[in-house]
This record gives sequence, C-alpha cells and structure tokens, in this order.
Amino acid sequence: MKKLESLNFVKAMAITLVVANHAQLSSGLHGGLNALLLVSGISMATFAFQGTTAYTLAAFRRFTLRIAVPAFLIAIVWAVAVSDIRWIELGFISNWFYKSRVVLFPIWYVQVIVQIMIVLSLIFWLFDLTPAFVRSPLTAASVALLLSMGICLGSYAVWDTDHLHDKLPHLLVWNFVLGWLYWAMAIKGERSIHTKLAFTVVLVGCEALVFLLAGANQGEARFFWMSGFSMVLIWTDHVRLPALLARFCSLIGQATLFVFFLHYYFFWIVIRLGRLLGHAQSEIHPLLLMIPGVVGPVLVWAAFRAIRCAWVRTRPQSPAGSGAGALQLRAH
Amino acid sequence: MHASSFFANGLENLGDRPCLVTPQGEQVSYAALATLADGMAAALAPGRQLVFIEGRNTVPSIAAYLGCLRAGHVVHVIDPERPDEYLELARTYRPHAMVRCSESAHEVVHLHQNHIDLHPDLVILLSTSGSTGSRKLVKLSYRNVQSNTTSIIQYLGLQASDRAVTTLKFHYSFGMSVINTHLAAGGSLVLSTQSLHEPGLLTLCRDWAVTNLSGVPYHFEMLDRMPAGLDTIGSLRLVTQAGGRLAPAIVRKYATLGRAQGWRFFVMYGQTEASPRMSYLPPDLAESNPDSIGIPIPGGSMHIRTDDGELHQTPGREGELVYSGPNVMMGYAHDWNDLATDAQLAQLLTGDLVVMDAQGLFRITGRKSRFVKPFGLRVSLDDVEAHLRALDHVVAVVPAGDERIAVFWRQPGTAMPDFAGVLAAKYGLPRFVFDALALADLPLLSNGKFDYRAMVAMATERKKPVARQAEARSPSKFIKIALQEFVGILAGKGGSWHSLEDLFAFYFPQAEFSPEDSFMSLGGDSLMYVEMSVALEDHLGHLPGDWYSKSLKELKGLCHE
Repeated sequence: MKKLESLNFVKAMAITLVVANHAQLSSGLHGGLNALLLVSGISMATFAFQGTTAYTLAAFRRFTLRIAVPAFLIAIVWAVAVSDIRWIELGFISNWFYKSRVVLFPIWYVQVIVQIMIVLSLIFWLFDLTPAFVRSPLTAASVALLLSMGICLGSYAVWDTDHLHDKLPHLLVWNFVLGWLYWAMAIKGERSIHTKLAFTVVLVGCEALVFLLAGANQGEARFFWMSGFSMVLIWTDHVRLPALLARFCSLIGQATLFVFFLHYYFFWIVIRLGRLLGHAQSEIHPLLLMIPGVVGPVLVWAAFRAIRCAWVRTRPQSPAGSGAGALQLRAH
Repeated sequence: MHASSFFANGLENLGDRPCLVTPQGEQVSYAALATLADGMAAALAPGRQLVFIEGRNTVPSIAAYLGCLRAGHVVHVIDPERPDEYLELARTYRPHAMVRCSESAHEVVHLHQNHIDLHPDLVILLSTSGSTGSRKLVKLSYRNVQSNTTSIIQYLGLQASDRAVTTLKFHYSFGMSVINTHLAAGGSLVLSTQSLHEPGLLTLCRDWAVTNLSGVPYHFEMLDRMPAGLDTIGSLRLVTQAGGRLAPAIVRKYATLGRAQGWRFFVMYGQTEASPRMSYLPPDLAESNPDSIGIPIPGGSMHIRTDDGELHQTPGREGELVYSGPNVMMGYAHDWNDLATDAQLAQLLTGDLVVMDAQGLFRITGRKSRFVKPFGLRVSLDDVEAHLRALDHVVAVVPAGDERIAVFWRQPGTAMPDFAGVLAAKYGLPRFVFDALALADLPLLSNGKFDYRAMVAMATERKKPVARQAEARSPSKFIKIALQEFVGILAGKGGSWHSLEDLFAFYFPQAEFSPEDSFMSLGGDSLMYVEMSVALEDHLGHLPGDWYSKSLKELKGLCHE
C-alpha cells in the first residue's frame, strides 16, 4: 500500500470523473469540475493569501495566465485548423452567450476561472482584502462564502440560465470560495474532530443548498460526487491505495491540466480511427474513449516533462550561477 | 569669519594648562601643543597647501592637524588603517603633502608643488561616511567649523575643567568634533585608541578622571551588555551619543543612570555635511522622549519639507528634515577641481524623514532611501531595525534586492530568534521576505557605525543564483536522458535530479533563486503543486509538511538528514 495526499487523490479522481462523464460512461457523473474548482480554491488560498494584497493579486495573475494561455493557444490553433474562429470564445466570454464551442476541451471552465479571477482581483484591489484573510482567515473566508452563496442563490431565484448550463462565474464562485473555507479551517485552523464535524455540516449544507434546492443543472450528481470528495478532504490527510493504483493516481494528479485540455482530442482520434475501421461513434464503447482520454494525455504530459527535464539537465550553465554550493551527484 | 578668530589660532593663549594626556601619562600643555603644531607646519612648503594627515589619536597627529589649520592650509584627515583608500584619494585630490603620524613622531612627505585652486574659506575636507572608499568629500569652511564648535560648546556647557577621552576615530566627523570642541573650550583630551565599549577604556577614564565620554549607538549597545559600565566612572559629567539612532530603551536607561549618578546624557544628531552637529536632545527630556533627536543647535534651524517642496514646522506632519545654519557645508568635492568653489548652500536636505511634536522636538521616522517595497508595501528598514532593537537584539537591517529584507544579527551565543516570524507578523508579509543571518560580529566602519554597504553585499551574495550541475549536451545524450526520464516518470519517479537546485530550476526556469527561496516565494501555484510534491518526495524520500513554504536551504537540511 502507498500513501497519497488527499488533495492529490481528489484531484486525480475529479479529472477522471470529468473524462468519464465526457466519454458518457454512465449517467450521473457530473461534478468533476466542481471538485477541481474546490481544489483550486484550496490551493489558491494556501498560496495567495500571504502578506499583502499585492502578493495575492500577483498569485491570482500567475494562476490565471497559467491556465488561460495554454487554453487560448490550443483554442486558436484548433479554430484555425477547422476554419471556425469565434472571437467571443477566444476572448473567454462565450459562456455568457451559448453552450456550443469550436474548441474540443470544455473551454467554459477556463472562461469561468478567468472571469472569477478578474472580478476577485478587482475586489481584492479595491478593498485591500488580503490583510483580513491573513489576520482572521476563518472570518474572512466565512464572509466571502456567505456573500458568494447569496449571489448564487439569488441568481438562481431570479435569473434562469439553464440554457447556458449555469456555466457562469457568479453561479460557481461559491464553489471556489468553499475551498477558502477549507483552507481557513483545515490548513490554518485546528484540525480537531469538532472542526471537521462543523466543516462537514457547512460544506454539505452549501452543496445541498445549491445543487439540490436551488435547481442547479445536474444537481443530484454534482451533490453526490462533491459530497464524497469533500468527505475525503475533510476526514483524511492521506489515502492509502495499492502501490500500482497510487502511482497511477499520482500520474493523473500531476497531469490534470493535460488531461483537461487533451482528453477530447484523444476521443476525437479514437472516433476517427473507429470510422476508418467502419464503426460509427455510437458503436464505440465509452471505455474505449475514456481510457485513451486519460492515458493519452498522461503520456503526453510525461513525454513533455521528460523532454523539458533533458533540456534543463543538458543546458549550459552561466558562470554567474556559481554562488552557493551544489549538492553532490546523486547515485543512480 | 576671518581665520584669525578660528579656535586653532589661540591655543598658546591657554599657556601651561594641560591639553593632551597620553596613555603613558605624558601631559602636553596648550603652549607646547601650539609650538609642536607650528613646528610641523613649518616643515611644509611655503604657500597654501592641501595636506593629507594620517588621523590617529596621538600627539603628532593632532599637532599636525592643528598646525595645518593655524597655517591656513586645507586639511583632510585620512584613515591610516586604509592605505589603499589613501592612494585613490591622492590620485583624485592631488594633495601637496602627506603627514604620516605614529605614536610619537610625524613625517612630512612632499608630493608635488603644482598649483591647485583652493577656495579661501576652505579649511577641512571630510569623508561622508567614515571610510567607505567614496571619493566624494565634504568641504567645510572656517565659518562652518567654528560656528559648529561654538554651538556645541554652548549647548553642552563645555568648560576648561572638562576632560574628554578620544573614543572615536580622528578622521570621523564626530571624533574630530570632540577634539575641536574640547580644545576650543580650553579643556583637555586623554588620548586613546580604544572604543567606548572596550573594558580598558573604563580603567583609563577612572585613572585620568575623565569627565566627558562620546560614543555611537553600537558602543552603547555593547556597553549595555558589559558587567561594568559607566557607573564605575565617578568623575563623569557628560556622555554624548551621535552617529545614528540609539534604541529608545537604551537612551532611557542611560538618561536615568545619568540622572541618578549626576552626569548628563546627550543624544545628538548630525551629518558630516553640517560640520557635523544639527540637533541635540536636552538631557532632562531624554527619559520622556527617548526616540527624539531633540531641537536644533544654537544658531541652526530645522524645518520639514513635504513632497511638494513646502517647508513647515507643523507638529505631526512627516517630511524630510531640512537644516539651515552657518555650519552647512560649502558643498561636495568630487576631485581637486571642486576645491575652488563654494556651493553657498542655504539649506541641507538631510534625507531623513522626521515628524515634530507639540514640544518642538523632532523625531526621525526613517530614511528617504531606506525603504524596501515587498509586494507594494513600503517598509522602512529603520523601522524594522528599531523594532528588533526594542526586543533587545543587536541587529542591522539592509535590503536584499528590491523586495527582500536581510536582518544581520550579532549572535551572543544563543540560538537565533525567529526574526522572519516576528517581522512577518508585524508587517503582514510572507516569512520569505525576511532573511536572517547570524554573525559573531557585525561589520563596522572605522567610525563605529554599521557597515551597511558590506552587509548589503553579503545579503546580495546570499541571493545569488545557486549553482546547478549540467551534463554535456549532445543529441544522443539528450534523447537518452529524455527516454530515461520518460520511463522513470511512468514508473512513478519524480525525476532523477542531481540536486534540489536542479529540481527547483526545472520548475522555475525563469527565476534566479537563492538558498532562501521556497516554492511559495518563487511563485509556485496549485497547477504545479502536485507535480513538484511528487518530485520532492521522490528526491527526499519523504514529503515534509508545509514543504511549499520551506526554503531550499531547509529542504537541503532535510535531505542531509
């Protein structure tokens, strides 16, 4: 058996769920991207809520660029390749207009992230909020969650956006902010049984309110998976898995971004190959889509990393970099 | 002011009164000193000259200095411990002569007889920072020196019965001012090369019934840690401190001690450019205002300059301190060509930020240039330093790059406190903004002040990019490594890194990182978190808690464990 950090485990499971859902392995598999949003919120709070608001804004910017730049590049290359350039999609705002997309990966998720980060950056900049998060993490995160929940529930009550599959920032920001509360309680706070119980109630309560009561798209499935992932995060630091499975989970966790961007392209390749062999898309078993959809991007990621690694290890060194001593060569 | 009313010109009038006392007990009277001084001056070539003098707290050195002043020459007292600096200065200013001084003798070295234009009012050239190697010298006139000397005598109440000890270097403006004022007041000087905090000095003071002592903050901080202090000197009448900010707690302690023992503790403020004194804190206000630099010296005035250039004396409004008075220098000399000019400065922009309180007392809040802006937050290094000193640490704080702050701590043999934690909490900044270094002794200038420049260099050195190991690049090698890595990654390895530096370089290829940097300080984010945690776990054999906030140095420590 091998230990895996809960956060990494959830990340791997969530992206696998996304691929499984998109491969239409079964019904009721929605909620993977919600879990990824929760994980992103936790990580963002851990790395961004330090020191001053300027530091937070820099972290927001880095995160946004790291996800938006590759999304834009993939999107524009694909748009040119299929001769269908839609600027509102490339400008990360098409989620407000229609559900369809030219690019194969779910660009709405990137669009929502970018929009959330822009609005959050503006709010943090205007109100200089980071010191409040540093001083009183729990209070600040609770207030942020209450506000974001209020916006979400209020919007569901007065504005039907089902035709857009509710893939809008104001309906999802609470999901991101929920990660902040986890950070405040589990990382910055005391991890007692009482804290865990309280957090379970809050988390499941919020999820139930939005996914079950407010009428979110595919709410039941989202509630089921999100609650499950949340329980793992709250109640365990590590998950013990058979070594081989842990290794595979670890690889998926590391390659999450690649899986997110590329899994549809591997579907596309399998479907094209199927057609060449005389099989219609409907005849292809979802597992034949799902497995390449996960394994393919993991292999691409591993190859990409191996090449980068070889590049770095054989990169000539400048004489300036001779300040501190390096460690001894590691025995292989 | 005419040179004839200059303090150095009336020495012989004080006759046989003791003037200098050597550590061996030899006493030199004013009349004898005047004779010695004139004899030395006679050894110089005719005509007004620029003379460099080795500044030692010895009879020959002081006699040479006074002899030059009396003869109307222009003097620059140099640090004899830095001969390399002398050569550089000599090339820049072309002195006519150099006076080498030892414990008991002097030697005049004639360098050239070419004409150099020397402004008629010019009398002394001083280095701005004790001995930093800067070639910029401060030009002082007879009026500058004499007015400042008179002011100091007035507010300190110096008299002929006063006896000081030379605890400061002669070439340092504060040290020179102690000599000037005591000779002008008709007092006497016990010659010593020891600093205030050195144990032998207290014995010397007791032996020779010294009444006046002077020191810079470092001396008092050290003295504060010694078992026997100023309370052992029964003859003490005055203790003066200048040369930087002394922690308020120490000011209060000495002010209280002085009051209890019948001597007065003066906190003074100045700059070489003001010959050097600008303000003093009346001793009776020191206990209640220990963080103040006090009021302007007699004949001087101080105003506060806003960013818009407006001068005011409004209590509570911060701005740059502007001093005006007859002691404001003639300007700077960058080489010998500048020795003929007088900038005729009406005011001195000190570069110090101050506020004035309702009593008219000024308090320094920082230095215009001593600010660092980590993540956009303006942090005064002086404020950081004062905060740590208030916690009873001997520290010097310098910038380490544009956004980091290095704390140099004089290690008294105990474990280093968590400076980063203390400062991160105070300023609401991430821990990695602060870098703490422990040294057995903090680098000092010859004037006893902290050598901030040396510490900046040390801090910068620590921030230098770390070395990494590279293998020769060839296509076959590249492919071989890439394939090895690919297989290794799929087998669950985090990469076969030679070192942690290589690992960091891989994830932060654009960053120049140092041993103090961490995943967080380098801008690591959630998208690379998992990947790097796996790589690190594989490299270290385990994944430390909070690994993302641990510095490369700390992680290396875990690696060695």
